[in-house]
Amino acid sequence: MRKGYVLERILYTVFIFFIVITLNFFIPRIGVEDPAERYYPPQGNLTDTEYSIIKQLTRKQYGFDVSGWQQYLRYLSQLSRGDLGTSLQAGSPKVSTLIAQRLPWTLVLSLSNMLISVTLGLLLGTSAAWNRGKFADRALMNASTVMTALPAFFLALVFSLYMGFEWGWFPAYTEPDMVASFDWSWRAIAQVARNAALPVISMSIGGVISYAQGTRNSVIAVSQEDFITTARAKGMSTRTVKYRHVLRNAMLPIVTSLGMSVSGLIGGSVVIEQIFNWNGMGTLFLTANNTNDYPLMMGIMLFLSSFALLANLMTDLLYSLLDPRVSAGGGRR
Amino acid sequence: MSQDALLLVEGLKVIFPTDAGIIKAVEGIDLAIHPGECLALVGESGCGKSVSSLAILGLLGTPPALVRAQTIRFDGQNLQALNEQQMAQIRGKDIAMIFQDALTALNPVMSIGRQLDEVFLKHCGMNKSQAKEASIEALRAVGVSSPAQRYRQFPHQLSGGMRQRVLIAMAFAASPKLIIADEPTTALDVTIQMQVLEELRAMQRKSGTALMLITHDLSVVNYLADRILVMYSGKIVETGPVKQILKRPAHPYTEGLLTSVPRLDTCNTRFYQIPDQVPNPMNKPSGCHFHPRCSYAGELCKQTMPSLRSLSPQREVRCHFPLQKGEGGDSQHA
Repeated sequence: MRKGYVLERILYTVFIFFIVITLNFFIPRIGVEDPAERYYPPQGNLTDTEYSIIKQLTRKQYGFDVSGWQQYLRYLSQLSRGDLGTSLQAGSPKVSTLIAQRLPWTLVLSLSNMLISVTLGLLLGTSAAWNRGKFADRALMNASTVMTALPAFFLALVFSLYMGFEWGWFPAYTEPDMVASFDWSWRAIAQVARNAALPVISMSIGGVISYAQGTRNSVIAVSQEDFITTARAKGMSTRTVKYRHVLRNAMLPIVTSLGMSVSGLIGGSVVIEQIFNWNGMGTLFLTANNTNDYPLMMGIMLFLSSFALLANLMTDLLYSLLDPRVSAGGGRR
Repeated sequence: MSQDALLLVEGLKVIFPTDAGIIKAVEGIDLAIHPGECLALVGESGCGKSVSSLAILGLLGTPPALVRAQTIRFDGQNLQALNEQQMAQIRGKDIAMIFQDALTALNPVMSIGRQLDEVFLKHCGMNKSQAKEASIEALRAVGVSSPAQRYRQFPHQLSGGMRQRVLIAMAFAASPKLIIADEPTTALDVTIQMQVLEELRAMQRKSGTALMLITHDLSVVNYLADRILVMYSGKIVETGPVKQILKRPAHPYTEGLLTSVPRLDTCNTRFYQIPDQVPNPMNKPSGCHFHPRCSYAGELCKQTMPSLRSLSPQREVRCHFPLQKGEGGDSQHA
């Protein structure tokens, strides 16, 4: 039963992945004109022959020299070799190289954000649930009402203005030499931490609040279930009831939202990266968008969606480990 | 009440203060259960029978509930004086519970084996492998087929009857002196009900455990119980031996409950039902709580709540105009 479930999830993911590749190929082509027209509009100082040669060369360079169907097959075979294509940036760097350069910097932000959000969120949420109606619980709930109304980019601007420019606690703007001079020395790591502080804080406040709220509600809901009364009627200690019976069940919805936030690890910080001029995937994507660098856009899109797919697959599999009802598909054995 | 009772409860009151008003769920009940005996608590939904049992075991959340009692004594121990940790030592070991809906009463993400193990590990001083053996044996004892396989399965993989048997096995696991069974067969099909009841009775007879049976089903009472305690709107209205009460009820409410049991041997085309509903616990009627629904009620019933009077040494009834005459002449008009 369980093996079948795993296989089913994997096949499903592969199927969706194929659809993603196809959409990723066709969607940019809906709007794109002939690249030759776009990059080399007719100019007076060229003869018609010269101009048509240039156009042909350009089409060949961008792969528009064959029919759409052949382009699609070519794209598939290129992907199957692990090649995401070549960027239109000066120097024609490989898309995969560009992503590899930027990805770690984005992960620095998003992983720290996730770590802080989940740990603090779980701690605050469970303690609020176990002190339901008391001061700590009410304070958290009121704070969350206020904080959910403040988007991360707004917090980022405020923090950058005050903690950065006004009080000078942290760099308000990423120090320009941070990426170039990074060499794994303690000094460089400290510099990254210093620069990441404001972006991470502004991203994680919302995360902490939403995880805390979710955890609190989930723990309270599970605490009222009949099987908790059963566990207590069996003479289980308060501690055992809380940790073994309540928490494991209360974690199920949290795992789902965790899985969903994993897929946002890479693409979720576009705006924040802009505000702090952080050199990550978000800035890369915006650059690609603003310069019509569509091989780069396609590459990033594909990378983001495959990452999200993988994250979903992992969530499904983890969920079935935690909750035996999932992999059983409702059937009785 | 007698001194040799296993469980003695006197003057148990449970109220829930809410924003909308005070809910008097239990308004001072007395009960005693003797070793090996089966006492049935009978009444409609909302009469306070389940709340009473949870209050005795200290399983009601306080708040929201407020529990007061003159006495809750079990096996010589004053349960009210125990802290949560000491109560946990008694729950499952000396007093166990069987709940109504076995699907929600079992933890969905733990195998039933592990849930059974917990009792043996906690109360019987066993190690893991001994607990596993004991659990499988316990499953076999309540008639679960291929217990070693079931041990590894999860609640959703079992049928309703199987799950209820698991709960029964769990309750009997540590050989408790008293088991409180709250509607143990209500969630089951009628055919499965009988099997589970037979299992429950066999287990009870074999182990000599006292049973407090909470139900609204008089056929279950007739099958299992020795004594009966009828509750209405948070108060005891009649108590006595099952055979006597089922044959000759003294309280109009008990009579109503009995008449509303569908029968095969008469040709009535309609089911009898007691008119109206259980009173709103926030706004109970004056005098006898049952008078608005009672066809025998007189002026006196609207004004004063009758006291619980004895009809015979074994029977008590809370009614101004009981349907049965008492044996002792003095109990008539106190």
